[in-house]
Amino acid sequence: MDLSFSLEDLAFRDEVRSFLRDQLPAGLRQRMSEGRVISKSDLVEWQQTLNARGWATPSWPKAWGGPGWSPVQRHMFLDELHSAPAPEPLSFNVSMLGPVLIEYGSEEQKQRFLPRAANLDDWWAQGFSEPGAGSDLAALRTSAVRSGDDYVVNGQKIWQGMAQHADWMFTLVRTDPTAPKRQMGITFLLIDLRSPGISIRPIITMDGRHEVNEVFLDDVRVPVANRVGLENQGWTYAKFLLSNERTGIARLGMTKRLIARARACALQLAPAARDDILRHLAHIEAGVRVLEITQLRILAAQQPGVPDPRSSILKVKGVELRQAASEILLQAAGPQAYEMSYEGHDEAPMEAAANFLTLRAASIYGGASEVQKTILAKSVLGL
Amino acid sequence: MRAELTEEQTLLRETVARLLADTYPFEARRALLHSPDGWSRDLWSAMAELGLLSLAVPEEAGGLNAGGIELAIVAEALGAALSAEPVLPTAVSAVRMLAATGRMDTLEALTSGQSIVSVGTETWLEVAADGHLTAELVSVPWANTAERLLLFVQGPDGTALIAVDTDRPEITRRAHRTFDGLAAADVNIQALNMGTTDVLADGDAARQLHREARTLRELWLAAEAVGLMQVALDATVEHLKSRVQFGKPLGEFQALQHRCAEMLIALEQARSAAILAASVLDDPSAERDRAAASLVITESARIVGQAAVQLHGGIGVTDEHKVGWIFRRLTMIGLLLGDADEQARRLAQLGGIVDLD
Repeated sequence: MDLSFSLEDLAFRDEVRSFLRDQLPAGLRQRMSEGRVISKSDLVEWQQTLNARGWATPSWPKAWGGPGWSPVQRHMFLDELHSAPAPEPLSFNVSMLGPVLIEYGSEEQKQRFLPRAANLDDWWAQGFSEPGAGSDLAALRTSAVRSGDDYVVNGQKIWQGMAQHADWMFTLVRTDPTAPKRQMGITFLLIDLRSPGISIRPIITMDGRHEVNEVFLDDVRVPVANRVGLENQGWTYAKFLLSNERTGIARLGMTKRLIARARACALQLAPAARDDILRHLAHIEAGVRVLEITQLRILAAQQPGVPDPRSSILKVKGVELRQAASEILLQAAGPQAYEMSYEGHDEAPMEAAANFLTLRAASIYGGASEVQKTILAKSVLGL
Repeated sequence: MRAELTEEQTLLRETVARLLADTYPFEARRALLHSPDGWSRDLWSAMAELGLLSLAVPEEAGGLNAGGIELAIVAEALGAALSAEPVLPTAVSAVRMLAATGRMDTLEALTSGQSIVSVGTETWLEVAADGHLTAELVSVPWANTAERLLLFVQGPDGTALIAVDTDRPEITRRAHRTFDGLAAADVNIQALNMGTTDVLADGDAARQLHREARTLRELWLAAEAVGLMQVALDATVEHLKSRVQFGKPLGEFQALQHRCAEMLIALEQARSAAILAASVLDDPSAERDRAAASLVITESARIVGQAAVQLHGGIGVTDEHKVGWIFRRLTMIGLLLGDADEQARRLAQLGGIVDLD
């Protein structure tokens, strides 16, 4: 049992830190640490800075421009980004689409899409959920019917994060409604969002923000060349994608940022109120410190390509701590946090309320906490 | 970075587990409640033979010089077997203090299993101006069978760690069992003349030993709790798989599955907490990590212990089922470590852990 980092890893961390110190724009860093909305141009520019250094695609193999990092180094890199704080490379491009194309895409698809995804020249959206298919993703109904060299796609997708910025959407569609199992009739398509028949409508969430969207597809023609892998095999690729989505999800750096903001607020309060807040924070800090160890244990035991169901612990506990920290921040900040930045209004002095409200979704997306608990009960405990 | 134990550590874990499996079935453990001592002298001798009683002794004093991980391995295995033996006060705390103060003859009596020494309390006892100590110590673990007590005292002559024989006329004991089934005694000390006691250390040296004893105890109880929690979860999962109600195993009900998942999360966090405590055992500056670890242990012990009883249903509240014993010991450990709020106050007073910018 040895959870300490090697000298090589520590040197790597220093390299990342000094890169972030030199390259992360002060304004972006400031907005990140205040939990504010980051503009598309800031995100694109930052990802291009990372890509120029060869660091935009940590999990990709070297042949496709990945940096060739070990799992520990990938973990360290993300942790440093969260602590800086700096935006992560766009997860739709880098953590979701990229690995699927590398594993299952055609040579032509790889050549065409991977370099542009890495450099955020194309912005990808995730077209999985539907009004009738959330946690039960295999219930999806958006249909794709073959017509010559195209599929004709009809249906509705929902919860597309930042699709208002997106150029493309990787999408699960039903190609065989008569398949004996629902999972066997699903195909993975790459859809150009500028195609005729697509409309994107914003969903404003209770944090006042426009992050998620609905995407309507009405007789959208998608070339067969934009199908990933085989027809009706899309479920396999989607499962592969989701297993990548679940790694590194404790996001402790973000929680630490919330804790640091809450502590700064608490120190302005009268002693009794201050001590109450600091005691509440200590509960969360202890959880964070110990979850760091849990994360390292899972990391140290990681076998290449084998998903560890225990990573559901990181998701459930990580979100619980992040939500709790945001709640205490809201409490510690007091009335100055009551104002919120609604679209078309002035930007509020602080974003504590919006951050708290935004984070309610964290235990719902990426596998709801209840889904994670079922995974733990079945895969780890054998129930 | 390596998730596995070293070969030596694995061997140690297997050795302890095998010893307990062979000599310490649950029924035997349960019968100890009604034995005069409250714990097993046979198991104690076997532990001495295997060298487990000198595990915590530094190398220069002829011991095995166990580090934090090794101590945690043994504590976890003893916890999993619901051991009732005075390993912590005698073979961990006392041997360290005796070795540090050069009491080799007494040390030898302890590590060979001949003698039992209990640490009276971690509270500093007040010596009166006339140099006499009068105190009532309530429920001191294993004090019923201890031949000597180690006490931390402070008074007109400053602070000291002293050893006193329990058969002295100034000391009377009332033996009893605590709610976790373990042996203890109330110890009444009447006008004990400090000049007649054996002073092991004083001043800064005594304070240093006090800190060390506290740190060791915190780690030991953390790891013992992890062993107990693992058994609690295993037993609960087994029960849910085999118990049929409404025509199917209870384990197929999602409400119960989720409760087990919550136990698992709490257990894995507790395991990480014990690893954290073990890794900073010798680091005096790691007080905040220790507070964080103890907070998580005490919180997890509560979650896992209470859920284990609940999910066992009626059988879980009986005296004959193991889970009730696990729950009682986990509850006791929570009380000994201090509840989560107390640990949170301690951590907050140390300035918290998260430090950005």
